[in-house]
Amino acid sequence: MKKEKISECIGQINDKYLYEAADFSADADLDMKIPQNAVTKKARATAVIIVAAAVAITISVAAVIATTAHRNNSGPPTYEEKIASDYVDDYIPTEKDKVRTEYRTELNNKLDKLHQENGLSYGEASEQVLLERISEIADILKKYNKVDSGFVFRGIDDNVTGIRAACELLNSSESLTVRETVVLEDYLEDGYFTLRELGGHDDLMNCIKDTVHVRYIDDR
Amino acid sequence: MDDSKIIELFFARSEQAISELSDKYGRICSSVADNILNNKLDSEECVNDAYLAVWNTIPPQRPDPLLSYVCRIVRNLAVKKYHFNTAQKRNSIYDAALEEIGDCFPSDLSVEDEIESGEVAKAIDSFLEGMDKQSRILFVRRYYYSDPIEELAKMFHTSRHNISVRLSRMRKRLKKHLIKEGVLL
Repeated sequence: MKKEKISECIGQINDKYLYEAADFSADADLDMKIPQNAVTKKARATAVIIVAAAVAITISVAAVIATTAHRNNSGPPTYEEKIASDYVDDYIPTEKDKVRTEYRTELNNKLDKLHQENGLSYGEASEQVLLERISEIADILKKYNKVDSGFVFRGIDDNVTGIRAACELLNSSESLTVRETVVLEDYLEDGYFTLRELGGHDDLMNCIKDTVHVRYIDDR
Repeated sequence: MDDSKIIELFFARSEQAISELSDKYGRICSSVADNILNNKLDSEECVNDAYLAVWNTIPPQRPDPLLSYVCRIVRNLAVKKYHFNTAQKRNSIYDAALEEIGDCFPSDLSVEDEIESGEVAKAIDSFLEGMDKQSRILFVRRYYYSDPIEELAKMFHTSRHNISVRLSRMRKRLKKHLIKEGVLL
């Protein structure tokens, strides 16, 4: 179909949807934000409370010391602390945060490169990057013998087995590198949306819930 | 100011109506025109033409909601101007969005295009009806308002990659839907 005709079809979208989209602001409606790390409402509420408390008390040296001491005593920051830490100045990114940022940047750079240099649309570039990611995930799962040799990755959209294997692997993460952990978590984040869209697979939901990634199904 | 009051100003033929309309919806109108035309001067002219069109059509029209009415006029004028200006040239934002969604549509529509395009539009509406609100807004912002991926990522507080993947899945679902509705054979 010619572009003009496609544009005409799209141009006839119902008024109510145009209004809904034009009037939209994710800032005004927190539930409409797409979670980068699937932040739960509870985590978000906790983060807001922590930030409010931090502002009220005024950041002082004592508070910084106390925060540092707390962090040192209790190991890596909890998820809530990590979210809250986005709002305070003294947050020190963990190695995983740094790797995650690098990984995200790497994906975005690949997208840009494919779009700008190879002339692919962002949709096509995204598909290509997705295939590369699947191959990377497959390598990790195979390395830890979590999938059969004959297992074929057909794509994240229907890769229920891969998601289950990744969950199990993360649950016993002592042998994973930081990079591998980040890649699998990123994969599970996509898997979360996919599963929600599929609207089924209760056994798998329970499997994920019982292992590590409760947050992925929290607002199902 | 409420939309109804702005419309009353139009009915009273008060020029304040234009300035109120511009104050309230000028930003999004400029954004729609600029995404398509990629040229500040052209988009400004387009938005002004749209205001004139609103002035000429209200009364007798009493649009509700006013926002989508104005946006629709801006988009139509911008698309016309775009084709007039660019002919075969590419525009990065508008063309990118159209190319993305182009694969979802039949490539050889030859019979009764006008009627067919009405059918396609209905099918798109029913597709949107079945989506959750978040996905629907994302779809409309990308393919109607032609918002760039980067802007959408900021708007939804997520990464560009995440937005691209979501849009890609939506296009796949749209294609399936169009096949199911008999638009795509």
